[in-house]
Amino acid sequence: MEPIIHAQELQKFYGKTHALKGLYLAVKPGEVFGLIGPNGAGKTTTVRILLGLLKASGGTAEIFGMDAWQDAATIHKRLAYVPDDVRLWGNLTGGEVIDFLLNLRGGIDEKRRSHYIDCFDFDPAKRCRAYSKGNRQKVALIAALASKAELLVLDEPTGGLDPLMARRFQETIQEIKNEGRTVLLSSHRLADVERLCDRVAIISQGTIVESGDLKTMRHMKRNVIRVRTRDPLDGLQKLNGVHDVIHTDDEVSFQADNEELEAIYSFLAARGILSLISSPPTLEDLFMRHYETRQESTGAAEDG
Amino acid sequence: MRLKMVDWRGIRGTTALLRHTLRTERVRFFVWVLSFFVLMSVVTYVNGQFTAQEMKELVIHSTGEPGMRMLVSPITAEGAGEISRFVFFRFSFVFSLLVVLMNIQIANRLTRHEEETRRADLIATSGAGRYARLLSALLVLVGLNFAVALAMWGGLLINGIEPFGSLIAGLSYGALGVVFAALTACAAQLSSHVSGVAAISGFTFAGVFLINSLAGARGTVEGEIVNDTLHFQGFEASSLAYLSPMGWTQEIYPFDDRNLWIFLLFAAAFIVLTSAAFALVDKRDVGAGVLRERKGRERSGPISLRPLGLALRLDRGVMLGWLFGTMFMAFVFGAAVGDLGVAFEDHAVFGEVFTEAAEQFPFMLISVFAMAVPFYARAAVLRMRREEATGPLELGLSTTLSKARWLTSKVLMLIAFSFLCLFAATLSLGFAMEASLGEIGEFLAAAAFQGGAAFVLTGLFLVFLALVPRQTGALSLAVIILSIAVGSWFGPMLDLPQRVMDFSPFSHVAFEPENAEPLRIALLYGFGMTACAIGITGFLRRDFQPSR
Repeated sequence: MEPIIHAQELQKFYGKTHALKGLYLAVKPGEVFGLIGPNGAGKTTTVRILLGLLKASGGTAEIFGMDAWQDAATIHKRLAYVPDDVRLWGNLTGGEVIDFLLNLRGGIDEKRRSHYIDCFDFDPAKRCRAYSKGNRQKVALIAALASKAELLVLDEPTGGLDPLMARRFQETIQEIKNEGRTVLLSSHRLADVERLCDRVAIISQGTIVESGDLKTMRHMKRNVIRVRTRDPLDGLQKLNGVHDVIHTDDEVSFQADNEELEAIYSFLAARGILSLISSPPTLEDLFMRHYETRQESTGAAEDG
Repeated sequence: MRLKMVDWRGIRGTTALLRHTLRTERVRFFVWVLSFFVLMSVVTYVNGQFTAQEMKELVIHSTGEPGMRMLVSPITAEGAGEISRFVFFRFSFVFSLLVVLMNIQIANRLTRHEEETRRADLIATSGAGRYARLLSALLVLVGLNFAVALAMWGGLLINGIEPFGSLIAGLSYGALGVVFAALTACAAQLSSHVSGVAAISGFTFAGVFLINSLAGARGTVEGEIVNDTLHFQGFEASSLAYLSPMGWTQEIYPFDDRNLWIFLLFAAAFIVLTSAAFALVDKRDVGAGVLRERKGRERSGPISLRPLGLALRLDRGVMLGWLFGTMFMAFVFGAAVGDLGVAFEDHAVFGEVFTEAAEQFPFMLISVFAMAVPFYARAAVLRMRREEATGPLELGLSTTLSKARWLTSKVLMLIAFSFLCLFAATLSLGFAMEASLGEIGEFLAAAAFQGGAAFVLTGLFLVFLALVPRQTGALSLAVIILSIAVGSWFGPMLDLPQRVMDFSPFSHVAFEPENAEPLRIALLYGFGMTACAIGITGFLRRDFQPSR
């Protein structure tokens, strides 16, 4: 299947700063794709290039098979965007802005409009300058969700939402997915990404350092094990595939490489297991691992 | 009876805030104070080149016509040939305007802007008392106005003007500034938005300005003609002047009567306004204004669903303000020209001189209208830049609204509206003067020619927006000030060589259309169009540049 978003060898310079260094991204129709990475990694730059707001310094960025910069206005007929920091027209009301954006995105569907306004418990009669960050985000979200756009590009859409609204957001993305629409979701809220995304790319220092569906990504990684045993676990550290052993009062926790699990479990079983919890790595673990390596490498570079 | 004790906790933290403001705003304050010093010394020096006789003649020429009297300050018979009085006779309006604009801008910045950006919340929760922010802002502004007064004093002193009178002159503008600082502080308690505060203060100032102009137009000029020589006996404003703080400044006569009691008027106004501001602090929440924000419509009307309609709707207030503001001013000037009659018009020799001046006067006003256009254009271009830098343009451009469509509709709206304002003001002037159709035609031609010069500047602002977006504000202001300073009004006054004056587009347009060279006008329009084209293509090619 042709990807809906296809970026290859994407480069971006801001003066001398090299913000994107050959980024590759392919989002397939109908999937929810997560883009995660630390601050300054290039998420927003990538999104803005895809929207034709920034011109790539090198490489190609295509949406629906069209060039993101050249054909921006045509592409935008089929796309809706929620920026990370939503700024609105201060003297218009939220309702007016929603109408304006929906009209530009192919017309106002009254049912969908009121559905999402109710869903986010939103007051459309207030002026935009009086809205909080979360409410401004709701304006952009409602205008995106209620549109007929095939592709939703959401840059940190839940940053200002409270937990209840963030939950609503997750539910609506499920609805969007069931309608067969495609979503590119850039987020810091790993819980959202973990729950919603079919595939994830981790971006760091302007390149994608890892991507794939979460299951395979997890599969290649380590499990986190917390265990209580009758006998002390002397010698656990020395086993192959055991990392980061932490002894607490009555419990031991560590990470285990998946391919060594059998040997590790036999070792534990021989010491009388009282309780054992084994959990797959969370996205946070994956993310933190890349984040830590990044910090180590920059730290080393500074030392050298 | 028990007296309520003052609760000093309310102003806790004032000194810390004061120091903080002086630190963060030091460059801005320094630039303002320095500008007043430079302006005062240069203007005094340049005008000091006139002989006493030339000064007297200029005073007589610019007081004969009631319309012209609207823009000059009262002067005594003895003062007419003295540089100290002459400078204020001619430039009192400019000084007052600058002092008031500075105070409105800075007071708004230190009060409402601080709250709208929510920085005030941080301060309110870090142990500062309820009144501390307002008190420190007012203290800073009083200090700043005092510094401005001293700077003006210094500018006069280095030109060898009498020290005590100069000090009083400087202080009279400082006092005017302090009143407008207090007024703006009051407005900041009422409105919950920077734009609302600017509107309240701005409209009040427009009213004050108008009353003062009327006081001038309705003022009395006395002269005695002996052996075909006019002995000027002084120009006094009508008593309307006492209704306007600008008039108070002018009624002090720092080098003649020294009406020091007028400072009591300033003090009273300051005390009333500050007390009102402090009283209002108690009536509202931090961050909110006393005037409640009304709820708006839940649904969009059909017009603002479309980008052009939305653009019109968003700028509606500003545009109507400019349109009716300029038309109203033009009407007042026009009415003054027609109604009130010309002094000395019966006298053969001087009557002729004044009739000639009166004939040229409408054309000079039209050139003033044209010089106001770049200020509107600059504000409009800066609004475009703000929409990009910190506004909703990012969201707008993610829809089917293309960059090209957004930009061209804004630019066309800006250019069309600039000319609309210019022509409307010109017509308003013509009607108020009860001019004939032929005369009105000539006025419109003059406006079209002068408009060419303004159009060049609009084009330049668009080039700045495209190529150096972050510097658009500073560069465009510099260009406006330079073009006016070396242009056809001030260039000759400053005795500038023609080569320097030619840098200003306004120097290429004669006041009266019959003296204008068609080729130059065509070149101005051609230059303006080229600049617009460069600006538009440059903008379309460059990246979207938000301020973060």
